[in-house]
Amino acid sequence: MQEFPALQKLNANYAAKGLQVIGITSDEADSIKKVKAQHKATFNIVIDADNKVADKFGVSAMPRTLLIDKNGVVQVDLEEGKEYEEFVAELKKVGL
Amino acid sequence: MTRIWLVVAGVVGLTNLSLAADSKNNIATAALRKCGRAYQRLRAVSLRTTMVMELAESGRTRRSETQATLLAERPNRFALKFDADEARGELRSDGVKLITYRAEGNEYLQAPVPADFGGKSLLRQPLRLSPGTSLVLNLLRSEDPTLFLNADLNGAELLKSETIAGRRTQVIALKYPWEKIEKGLEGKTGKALRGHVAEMKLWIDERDGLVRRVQVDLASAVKAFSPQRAPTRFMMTDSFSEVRVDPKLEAKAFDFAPPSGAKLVKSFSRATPRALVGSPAPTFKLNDTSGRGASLSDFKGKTVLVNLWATA
Repeated sequence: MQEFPALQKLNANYAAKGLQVIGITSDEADSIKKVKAQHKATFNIVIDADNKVADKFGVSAMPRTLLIDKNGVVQVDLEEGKEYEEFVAELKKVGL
Repeated sequence: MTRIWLVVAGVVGLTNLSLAADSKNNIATAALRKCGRAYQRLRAVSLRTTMVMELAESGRTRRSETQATLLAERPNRFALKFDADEARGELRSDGVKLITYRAEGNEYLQAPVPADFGGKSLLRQPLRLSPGTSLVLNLLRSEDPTLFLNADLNGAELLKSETIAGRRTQVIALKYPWEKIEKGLEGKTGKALRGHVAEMKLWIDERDGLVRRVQVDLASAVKAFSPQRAPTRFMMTDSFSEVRVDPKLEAKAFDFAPPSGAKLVKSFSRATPRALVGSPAPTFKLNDTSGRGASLSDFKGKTVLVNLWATA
């Protein structure tokens, strides 16, 4: 959740450049609504109730961030919380 | 009459309680002093260390176990050799230089020996000293090990006696300043940890006064430097076995001979990228809170940033 402000800013600044921000969580709807309201987050958040998708991504600790390019290939895999500037630097690597 | 007796009974009860706490503290203090003196007398030690990390977070549990052999000689020569696993390699100090060898990449680093074995130059390396192993080296390094242990004797408490690996130990709980475990912490993590205390438990051998096990509870510390994380359990436990006091150690035990083809580097090359990088992303189809579905294939032609998170 600490990353929400950075993610929200990325969503605002990079959507026009072709970035889709998506959050995946095992939290329940109530908790998601609370967190979204708290951070005024508008980006897409989907529910992975039993962590099946997290397992597919091989995630054992959260937060975890992946950048997937236009062709659906994973280009960047980041562990732990990151700041906005760190995300920006990673986005440069994928040409954004 | 009845009322007076009640008051007296109350006072007796309180005194007993504080006496119990006092004596637990006294026993703990005595055990820590004995431990300090034992390390002061120690010239060298060899042991096996088993480092166990247990992390329960976001409904997942991770446990890793690493074994290493440690040879150490007062004041600052040591050789810590990790058994084959993901942390394969070795850390050693010949008294002047600190050498870190990482089998992955066949590379090694050299640095001056830090002022403290919990020092930052160790923390930056891919091969780290665990808190318990670091504590033992610091005790061997310290001119006054008792003083080093006496971080907060008032808070030290005897929890119980326990036999581990055939040795009777006293289990002592103490609050330990993070600065003493990982000195010189820098950056965000360092700032967050400064001033924090770690909940530490020491298993001190009743006979020889040496530490047989160290357990550090990292759960509260993690919350301090990474508020979005809330592990329900995060323990680092170092257990020492095959402890030999003052063994004969040959000088060459601390020499480092680079394995064939090993490169001396200024910093280790980046860790191998994760298996996922370079591969097609796993597909998914999930619903948002209003039941609207989203799948990765909806975003074809876009760069997608996937952030996996959890509050609990």
